Amino acid sequence: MTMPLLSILIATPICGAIVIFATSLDPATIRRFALGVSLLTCVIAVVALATFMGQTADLSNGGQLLVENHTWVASDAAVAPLRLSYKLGVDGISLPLMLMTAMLTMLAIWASFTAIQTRHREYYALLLLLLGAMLGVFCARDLLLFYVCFEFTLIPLYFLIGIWGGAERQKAANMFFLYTLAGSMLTFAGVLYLGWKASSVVTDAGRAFTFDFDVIYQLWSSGGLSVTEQWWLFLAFFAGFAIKVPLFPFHTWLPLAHVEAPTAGSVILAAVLLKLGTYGFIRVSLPVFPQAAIQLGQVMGLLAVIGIIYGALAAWVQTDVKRLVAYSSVSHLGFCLLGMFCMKMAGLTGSVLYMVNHGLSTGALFLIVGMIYERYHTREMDQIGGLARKMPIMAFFLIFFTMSSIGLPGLNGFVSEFLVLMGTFISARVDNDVAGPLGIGYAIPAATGILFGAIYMLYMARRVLFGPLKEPEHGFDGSTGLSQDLNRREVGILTPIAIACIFLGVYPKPVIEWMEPSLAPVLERVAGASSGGWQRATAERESEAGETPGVATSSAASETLSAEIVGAETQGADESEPLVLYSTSFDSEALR
Amino acid sequence: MSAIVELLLPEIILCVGAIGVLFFGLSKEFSRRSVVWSIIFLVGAMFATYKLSLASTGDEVFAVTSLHAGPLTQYVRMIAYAIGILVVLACRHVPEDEERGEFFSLILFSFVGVSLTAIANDLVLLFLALELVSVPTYILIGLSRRDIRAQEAAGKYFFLGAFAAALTLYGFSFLYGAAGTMTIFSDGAAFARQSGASYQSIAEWFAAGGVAERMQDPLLVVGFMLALGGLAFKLAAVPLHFYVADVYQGAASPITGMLGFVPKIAGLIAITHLLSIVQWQISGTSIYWGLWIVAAATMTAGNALAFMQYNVKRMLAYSSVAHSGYMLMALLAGPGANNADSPMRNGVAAMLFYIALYGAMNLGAFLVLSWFRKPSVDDTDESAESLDDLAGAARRHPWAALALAVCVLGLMGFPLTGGFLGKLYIFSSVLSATADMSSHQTSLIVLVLIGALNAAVGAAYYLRIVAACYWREPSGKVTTSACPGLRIAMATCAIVALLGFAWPGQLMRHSVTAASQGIDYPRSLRIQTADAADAMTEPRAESSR
Repeated sequence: MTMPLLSILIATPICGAIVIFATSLDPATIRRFALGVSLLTCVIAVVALATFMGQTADLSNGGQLLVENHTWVASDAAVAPLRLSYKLGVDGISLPLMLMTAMLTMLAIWASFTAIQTRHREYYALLLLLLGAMLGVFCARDLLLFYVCFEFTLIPLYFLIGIWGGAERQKAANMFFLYTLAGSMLTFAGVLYLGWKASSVVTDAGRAFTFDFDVIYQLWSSGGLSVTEQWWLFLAFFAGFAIKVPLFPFHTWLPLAHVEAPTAGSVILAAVLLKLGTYGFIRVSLPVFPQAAIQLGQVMGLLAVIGIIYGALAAWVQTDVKRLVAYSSVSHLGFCLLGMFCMKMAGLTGSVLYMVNHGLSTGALFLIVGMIYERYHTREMDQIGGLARKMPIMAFFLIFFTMSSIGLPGLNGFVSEFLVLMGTFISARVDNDVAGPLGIGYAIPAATGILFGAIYMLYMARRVLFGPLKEPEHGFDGSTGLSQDLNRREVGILTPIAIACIFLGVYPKPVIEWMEPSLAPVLERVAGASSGGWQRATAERESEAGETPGVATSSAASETLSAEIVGAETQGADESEPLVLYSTSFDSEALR
Repeated sequence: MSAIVELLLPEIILCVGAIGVLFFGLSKEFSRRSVVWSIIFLVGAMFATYKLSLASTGDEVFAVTSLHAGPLTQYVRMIAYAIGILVVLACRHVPEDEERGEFFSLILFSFVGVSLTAIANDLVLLFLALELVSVPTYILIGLSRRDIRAQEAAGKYFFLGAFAAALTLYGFSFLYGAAGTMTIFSDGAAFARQSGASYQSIAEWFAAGGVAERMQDPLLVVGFMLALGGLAFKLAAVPLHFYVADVYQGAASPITGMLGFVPKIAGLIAITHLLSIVQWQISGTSIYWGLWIVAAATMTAGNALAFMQYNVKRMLAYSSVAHSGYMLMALLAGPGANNADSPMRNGVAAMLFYIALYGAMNLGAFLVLSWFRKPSVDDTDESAESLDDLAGAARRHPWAALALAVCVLGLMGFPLTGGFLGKLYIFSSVLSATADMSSHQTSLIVLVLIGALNAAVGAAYYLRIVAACYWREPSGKVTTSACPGLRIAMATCAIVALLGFAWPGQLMRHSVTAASQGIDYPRSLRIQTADAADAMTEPRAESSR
């Protein structure tokens, strides 16, 4: 019965890559084969989802499903032997990201059919390899495996940018690689330190030098990490993750890499690779170093807010559409981190949801920019304008995803932005003796970021789509068999993303339902750290659990805000109750 | 006598082989098959080593005072001979027809030197073994190419090597002066018998007087520093690193690949022996700080200098300097406290694991360079050297470029290659050492951070090699070598680099067992000195068991 579903999921694209690289097929066959392999991966991801949904009942606090655990390297020492494992599993945080990765990579491959004209074999092999590595990051339940996959994603992307990128591709690829690698080498030192520390934790299987997340999570609660150590480790992991995200002062590699990368590269970079950083924060930094996370929360919040506003302002003044979308990512990812460090359930849920939503809408925007570029070979807003007349279908999708990115109620962006901002607003409130590090002072400037977002995105849409028709001198290039407006293939690429955007905007309940049980333990640890003791916080939580459901029902009729807070409070006690509250409140919001 | 023959059987086979190949070189018929003969003897030596390790109980064997064999010896022999086979295969096309006998005979002699270093238990023998490693390489560099640069490189390497050897020898003489014996270790039982009388070995002398007390003597510290300084030349560690670029560039690429491995492993094993003498109790001494500074400076200087190169051979030469720094770092961490039987905690095991993979990856990178040929001034072709020669290699020769990329990414320490695990083990063993050397906690963590940053700097220039292969447009001049031996060796190196990640268990287990020799023996001494007064019979019982 127990099929190694996740291993198959990761192995499928990698095997596909090897087949493509090792055989010499003609370009058309390679394209179809690569698309087929990525579609198969997508199907396996959906099967994993179905299995997951069938087993959600077992997903108690912090649990994970579809676990596979194999020993990779082991030594048979008497005391603290080495036990490096190949351990996979998914929970509510990784599953949505995994699905998004599989889907967007498949669409990115499909979108490359006409854009890539040289070295097909290597291109599709690298894309599939990248897909395997990214899925590996999300499925890994072992810190070392996580790090290995995290690091390995650099290689395919380095080539993708460096070979098929724009004019400054080599500079962009080198900068991207070295910048990220420099950060993650410090993370590597941190990973090792954690592994060494983990060898002092006594588990069921005795003490071992291991990187298993389950053991590493026990480090703090068993008092294995002092506050000083947590600080240093937090900073070591920060170095790798913050550059990847990228958080404000470390974002300089991003615009160049995004702009120079081929369309598929930009899509994957924005949609998935940036999320590896935020995912790392939520998977490692928050739960493993909760005290440091609380203490550094304000700094992180400040950097996030600066990033939001700086990214928005920088996006506003861009003339290159792709660069504009790239800077908007800096701004959006700031929201993601803000939600994470407000230390409230609403913020955390919003943050994870934001990762998915940003992936969908920004990925789609990059795809559309790529489609325009294929036709006109320019992305300068001075040279193109009024395209809505010539390309009405493209105009529809561009407006649609612009709205999704701005956060129009009813589309996906709204839900996550709302949750993140709400979490930030209520962050300073004391619930269960626990107050988050952020507050209104962070929420207000962040909210202006949304305003800026609307300004620059609409400004871009206006210039590209409306006004007098403006085309570059050489006009529309149909040499690769493209029609003036989007053809059936391109519509087929954008439609699934649009459907996902509407679904997540109107009915986010199931996704939130997956996430919450997995986020609850993260929050609990952080809460325990800030109130001074893990045990005390848990005990209080349990004692209050008896009373809260009544409160929750009574507040169901009241405004969303309080319902949300109760939702966060009652998390440990009853999961289904507050979730209903979420979804009803969003539905009414959307209809209003 | 037979015990000695048994103990030295692999070396004897190789020596016979080396002399045999030298004689075969006189006949045209046999000379052509020198490669085959060399490989046969290397395989024979490997087989003998395998038989010996099967027969051994895992304990030290002291046949005579000047020889001691244990798991470390077998490990070093095995990996040295394995790399030796690759080197011989790769060198198939290098020498002139009339020089084939001498050429391969010298390669074999050099590998005899490596395994003698591991078995030597006597300062004089150790010195001779180190020279046996180096002297053939001086000649090999000169023989390997007709180019004037090769002659220059050989001259430079010889004079500096002679100078460094003198330093080492001078340092050894201080050790002899202090302890009054040349023997490095002695059998535990023998020690118990003779306690109080004149010392049978230097290790014993240290153990009897207490390492910390003995190390108070400034002359002894000078002795250690001189010996280590001379060995730094073998490792190409700072401050004796400046010759590498010229020498590595001057030699033919396969020989350069050999130069990156053979002297290094010999030097590292010699340092392991020296530090075992003081039971790795270097914490707080000037030896600790000396090694710390050398390791940090070697990594940094190696990477910084490599970063400035455009010639790939010079770049890889300086990168090998940086790798010496990483391995010295592992030696600084030492074998760790009791029960340190995983390379995550045992620096010596981490170093042994690392050097095996590093040897293969480094050789592989040079072999791919050697496989790409470009026309030289005098009608012959020579190995690719600059980044321009590699431009667009991936378009024309995807598999060779892939092999180069794998080897180079392995040297970078990137995941999915053995280099990643190597760095993992080295860094974590240094972190683990903070528990044993509590007074040096900060400096060890700083060293790991320096190492981590260096790994990132290293990536910058390794990437340039990969980028040249994959990004640039091919240039017309570069052809490839037709030598099948080279191709096999190249592929093997790349596969080893990948297997080192996917299936490291066996190598790791052997490296841990091998490193336990360096620990166990001093540890048993330590126990004896503690209860030397009352328990004279216990050690004997232990050794008989």
